[in-house]
Amino acid sequence: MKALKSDRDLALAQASSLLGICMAGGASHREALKWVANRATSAQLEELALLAEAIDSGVPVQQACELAEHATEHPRFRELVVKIGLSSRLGTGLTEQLESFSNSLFSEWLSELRSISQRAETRMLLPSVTLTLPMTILFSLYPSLQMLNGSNI
Amino acid sequence: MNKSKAADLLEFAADLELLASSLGAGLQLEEASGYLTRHGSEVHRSHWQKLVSRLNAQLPLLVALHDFKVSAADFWADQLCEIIITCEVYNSALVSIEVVKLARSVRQVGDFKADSQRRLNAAKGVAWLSLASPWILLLLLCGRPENREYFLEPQGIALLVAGGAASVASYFISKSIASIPITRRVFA
Repeated sequence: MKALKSDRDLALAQASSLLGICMAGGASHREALKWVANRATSAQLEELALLAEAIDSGVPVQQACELAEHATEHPRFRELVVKIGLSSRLGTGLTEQLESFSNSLFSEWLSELRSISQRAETRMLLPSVTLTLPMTILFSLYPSLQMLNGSNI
Repeated sequence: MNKSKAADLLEFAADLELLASSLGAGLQLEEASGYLTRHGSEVHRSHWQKLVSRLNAQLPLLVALHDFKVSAADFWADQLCEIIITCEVYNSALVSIEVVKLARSVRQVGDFKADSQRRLNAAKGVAWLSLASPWILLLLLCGRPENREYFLEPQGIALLVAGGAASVASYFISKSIASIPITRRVFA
């Protein structure tokens, strides 16, 4: 079965939403990251699991976030770790930011799903144009061609 | 009852809204799920029943929700379970608010999928019509006996076989294009 490119963004959106719940409930960055990484089963959140692992092994949150920021190639994950790192450094709240980040990722995912669906509608007509239409023309011309062929003989 | 995924999602969203109201009113998860087994959607009733039976058997919440996840086997059900567990651990006061937010997202996806399914069905109708067109034309042409004879010659039969193969190929290609991508589970 096909999968969306932005499925990873949706996974990140769900993880961010859970991080937000943890933090709204008073969990520290460390606790929240560890909780979400432990709960996730998808390989799409592997980078988050690595970040949680680094923090769990004693690396300060801020430093682990900086390392993850440089290591990742996923722009949305980079955005998330920058937010977490900054919040950890300045001691600012992250709940609202995480909620808005999660909503934005969800909207992007839905938008990609919409565009794929619209493309599928158009692409469904391709086999008709490339295969069925030439066959229809051949079927209609064949008796006339045979008739002309017969009259030449 | 054979229902589409979009209808399932919309019914699940309605269930989530009921659950959020019940939890917001101060009911325990067990009572709220029990309410859903009576008034919730038909499609998901068995999953809610499973959750209630597990909670009634005094199983830990984690185990009961895990069984619910296995039974529902759905991305959004996984997310609901994670919200409930996380709220239970960190802040149970947030649970109804978070479930309402989830219900909103599920409803959005359900609405989108319903709309997308309608459009794809319309496109499928066009594809079917175009698939049938050479054969309808063939039937009309075969109304004349001389045309029928031409199509019964070796070249004619070869043309019909090629036409059949093209129709089958066209059907399978259209079918594979028509599927909407699936969402991989994150908290399975």
